Amino acid sequence: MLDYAYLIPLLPLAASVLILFFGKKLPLGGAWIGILAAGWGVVQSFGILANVYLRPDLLPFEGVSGRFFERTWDWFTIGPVRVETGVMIDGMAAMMLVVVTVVSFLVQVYSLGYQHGKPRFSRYYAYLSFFTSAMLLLVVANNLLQFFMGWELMGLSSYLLIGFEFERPAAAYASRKAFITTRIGDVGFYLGLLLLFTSLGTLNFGLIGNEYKSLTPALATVISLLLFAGAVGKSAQVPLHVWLPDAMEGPTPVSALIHAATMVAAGVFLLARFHFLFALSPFALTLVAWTGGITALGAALSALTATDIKKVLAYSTISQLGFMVMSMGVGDPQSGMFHLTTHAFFKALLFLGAGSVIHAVHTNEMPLMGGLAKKLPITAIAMFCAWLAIIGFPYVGSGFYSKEAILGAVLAAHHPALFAVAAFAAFLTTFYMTRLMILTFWGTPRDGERFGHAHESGPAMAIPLAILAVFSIGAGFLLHFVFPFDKWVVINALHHGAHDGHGVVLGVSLVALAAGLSLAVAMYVFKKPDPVWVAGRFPALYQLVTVRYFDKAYLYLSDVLCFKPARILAEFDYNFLDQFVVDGVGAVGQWLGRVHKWVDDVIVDGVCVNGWGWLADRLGSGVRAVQSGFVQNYLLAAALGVGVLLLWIAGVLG
Amino acid sequence: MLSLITFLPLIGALVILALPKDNKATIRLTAVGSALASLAVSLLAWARFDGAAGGWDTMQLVERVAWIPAFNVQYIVGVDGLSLPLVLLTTGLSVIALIASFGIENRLKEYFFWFLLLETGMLGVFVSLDMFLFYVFWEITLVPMYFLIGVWGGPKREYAAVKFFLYTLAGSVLMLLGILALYFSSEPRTFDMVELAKQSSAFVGTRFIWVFLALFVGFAVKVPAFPFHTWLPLAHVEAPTAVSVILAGVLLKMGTYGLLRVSYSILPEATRWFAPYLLFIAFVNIVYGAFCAMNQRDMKRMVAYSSVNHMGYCLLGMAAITGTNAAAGLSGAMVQMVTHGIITGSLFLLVGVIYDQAHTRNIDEFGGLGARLPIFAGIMTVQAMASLGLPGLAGFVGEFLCFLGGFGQKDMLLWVGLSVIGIVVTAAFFLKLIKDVFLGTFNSKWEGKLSEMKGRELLTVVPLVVLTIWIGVYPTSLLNKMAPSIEKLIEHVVGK
Repeated sequence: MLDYAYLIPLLPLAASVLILFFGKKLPLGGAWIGILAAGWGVVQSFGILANVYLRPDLLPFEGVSGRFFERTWDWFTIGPVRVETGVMIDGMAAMMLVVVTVVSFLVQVYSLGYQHGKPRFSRYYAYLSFFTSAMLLLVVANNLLQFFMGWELMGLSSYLLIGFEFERPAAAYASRKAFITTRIGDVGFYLGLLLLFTSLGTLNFGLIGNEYKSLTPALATVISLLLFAGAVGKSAQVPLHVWLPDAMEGPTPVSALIHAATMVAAGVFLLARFHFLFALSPFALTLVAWTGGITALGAALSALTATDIKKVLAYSTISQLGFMVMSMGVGDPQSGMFHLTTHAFFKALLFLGAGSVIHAVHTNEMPLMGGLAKKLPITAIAMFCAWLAIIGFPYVGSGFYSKEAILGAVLAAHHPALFAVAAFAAFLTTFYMTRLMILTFWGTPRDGERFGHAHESGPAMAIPLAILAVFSIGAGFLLHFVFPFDKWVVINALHHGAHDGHGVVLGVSLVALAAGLSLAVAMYVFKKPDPVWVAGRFPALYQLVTVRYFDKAYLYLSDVLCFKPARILAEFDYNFLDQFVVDGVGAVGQWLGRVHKWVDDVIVDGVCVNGWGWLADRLGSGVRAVQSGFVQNYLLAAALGVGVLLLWIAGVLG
Repeated sequence: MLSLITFLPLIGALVILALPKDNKATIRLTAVGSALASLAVSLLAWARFDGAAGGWDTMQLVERVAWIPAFNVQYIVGVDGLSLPLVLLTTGLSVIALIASFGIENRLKEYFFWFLLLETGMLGVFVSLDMFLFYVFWEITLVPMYFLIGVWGGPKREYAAVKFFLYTLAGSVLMLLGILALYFSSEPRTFDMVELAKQSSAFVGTRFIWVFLALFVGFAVKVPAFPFHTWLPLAHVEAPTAVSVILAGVLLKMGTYGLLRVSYSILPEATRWFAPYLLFIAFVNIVYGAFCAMNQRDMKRMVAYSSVNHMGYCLLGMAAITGTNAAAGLSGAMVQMVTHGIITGSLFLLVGVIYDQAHTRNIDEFGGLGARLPIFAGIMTVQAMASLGLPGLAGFVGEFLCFLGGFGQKDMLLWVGLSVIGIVVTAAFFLKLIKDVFLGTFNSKWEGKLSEMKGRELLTVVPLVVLTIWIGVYPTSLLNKMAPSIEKLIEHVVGK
């Protein structure tokens, strides 16, 4: 199992290539190849997980994130520097493998129904497999360069899939925005990687884990912050989160896989992998914690008023990622990884459920839905399970366990203000998710025609929903009681096992849950107070949560920092440097040439015409046989010039 | 063997002169045939070259004949790990560029004659080990290039050709001064590069800083390093497709190669002095080139400015020579030379594919081609991704190593750090190109006018795409041949 772990990323890669080149000629557009590759990944990942859990003797090495297995191959060598590629499996990686392969597999099955009959069907599956491979390459990476490679290749597949329906200008725009915004963060990652490499001479995780203590605190802080920049971009944290809501232009299963469950969590995974480094820097930790907190709160606020069902879920994803990042900042990465796991399942389910709804009513707008539970019972039940999970319904929803863990960690780390922010964000989460459920499934249909045509989707879509519903309910319970998460996903936490104050946490989150639930029910079921009235009553507040200030800032900054300087420099280059300076020098040269010609004609010609003129003529006519023009003069000049220079330099140097 | 590689294209050129000019097929076949023969021999040389034994003072496949004994001018050719990859790049790209030239109908005999002469000149530059010979080959490349742009170019071809010619000529005059100064400083007098490098400990002091600068200007024009780059966008826009391929793919590398072979090897002291300045120039190239590219509407101008940016990475890697990561930097510079040739060469070919049909290169005039020309769009996207440095493709390897090298220059970290702005902007303009040309709604004015890439076009581009992926995934195949030579050069320059 472990020895062949490299197959997990390689098989989807092979599948991707096969589908790209031969998909159109194969039955089902080759989709089954991708599904098989991912399915194999699921089986092997569970096998690896079982090994990690039951057979610690198979993990021979001991590192900062517990025992691990490693296999290494040389990639290239530069002088003393060895750059390798390899596979490293520890608890964290094993958990991620299961998450990625399971969600990828289910999304691919679901897409059989969702993308059925849509254009470029084969290419869609090629891209999905490519993404899966890139993400798995990252998950099993044993060094930061391979991790970065997977990271960037995920970025490419995300770009291709957001812009999959590229005929729509909005999709084309969103794909580019996503790529560039995340690349801004990636540049930080890149610099951090280079700095780390230069400082320690290795990028191998195990070796970094052995040697990181030799870094000065200042250097550790700088590297941490640079790596964090990468996570901020990829995991859509403030202020680089602007790309994720736009990324909803991609097909809905893609949003579920890439922009909810897996890729966007890679930033959190990076923070967990390098937690030992962040732990050296209180400043970096504080910044991480507050970035997460602000993101969790801000995105939850944005989700309150969105009417596009996917946009609500996108903001929700940003907010939940904020929770995970917060856990990294308060020094308890385990709780963040736990939440990453539960979130992957219930958020994938929410998106796939939303996709099922969109598939049925052909709109993303919740004001055009309502009462769909009658028409889409399976979807509604599945979504209900996911709802239980995300709001953290006590002891039932999987989100309950992981969110509790994060809140407990925040409190244990003595961040009371941050705890308040997190608790408030949890309250908002319950509110907007309940609102979403009510607007979609509850009440009377607001668009009779769409409602009339709606019907439940086929088994390809329904079965993945059912499976994910089981995961959404079961994962928290299992990983809390049966296979306690922090027993085997070992990360050298600052506050390991310090989840004191459980009573406080439980109390606060129950209050937040009850408040969010009842407020949403009051406003959207009984219309007391009516949401429209609330919006009119508090216009400033309404504006605050509705206007997308960061998107405006993005547009402004991309103009000021990119397009404008580009214009100025390009004009400087052409008008000043080229046309003025260079051609100016040319013109002066020409003028000198005329002076020279006058000197030539009057003095030189008058004095010693014959000898040199004859010579020049002879040489010139020889060259003229090839071409006429000034090149012949040049060759003559060059020949004479060499002679003169030789004499001159001989004189000077002696 | 090296002489054979170098002069096979010239033999082809002379044969073409003897052919009747109406016999177009024979002319084309002769041209490609001689270039293919040269490529075949260079592959043989690649196989015979022992990478582990490479180095500036252990040249391989050496041939030596006295040429002008009075001045101790010799005909010496030989290769080490720095020059051999570039020889292969030249022979390979030439074959592709010649095939891409099959569409030329006007004065075709002269075209192929000049083209093959150009190839001989370029190969001569990379294999010469005698400064005089080097200079002769260097100047030989100038004349065919002048005609290839001036006769077969676009509307402003004459202006572009003259500008290219005068610009590089001004540079090479200074270079000649530098070469002669070295000659007269050597004892015994010699143009032999290896001999000069062995005498390098004598070339110290202010005087040689001037010599270094004179040589540098000559090379910088070719690279092109800011502020000597303004000939490049113009020349590219006016040049026919295949000439752009060679111009970007090979000619620019003569500059960076010259710096390594001549300046670095022979003037180590001045090189050490100059490294921080070179790093700053690299920074300007990277950021300035990227921003200038961002503002272009003409695809060729955009790719041309991206070359300014990419050669900046190359300079960055070379500037790492005095830092702690010198090996990474110089390897990066070498890899970048090769991969830039492959990637940018293919980008020019791709622009040519669309230009041949649409007769415009303005990105604003396209839109939505992705759905109609999926193969073309796919290949262009892959190569653009390679150019913007996506890991897994060739562009990343060089870029990464150059930056890693730059990070060894502890005093200049600010400029290295700021250079990454170039990475973001590069991504921004390539994605803009893709978006404006391939994505969005189809511009109906091209309805029925554009067709998918055909056999000959695929034949020229696909090998480059394969190489792009191959080097991106397995750079060792390239690095192995270069590494020992690079280490020796660093040892020679930095003296460890």
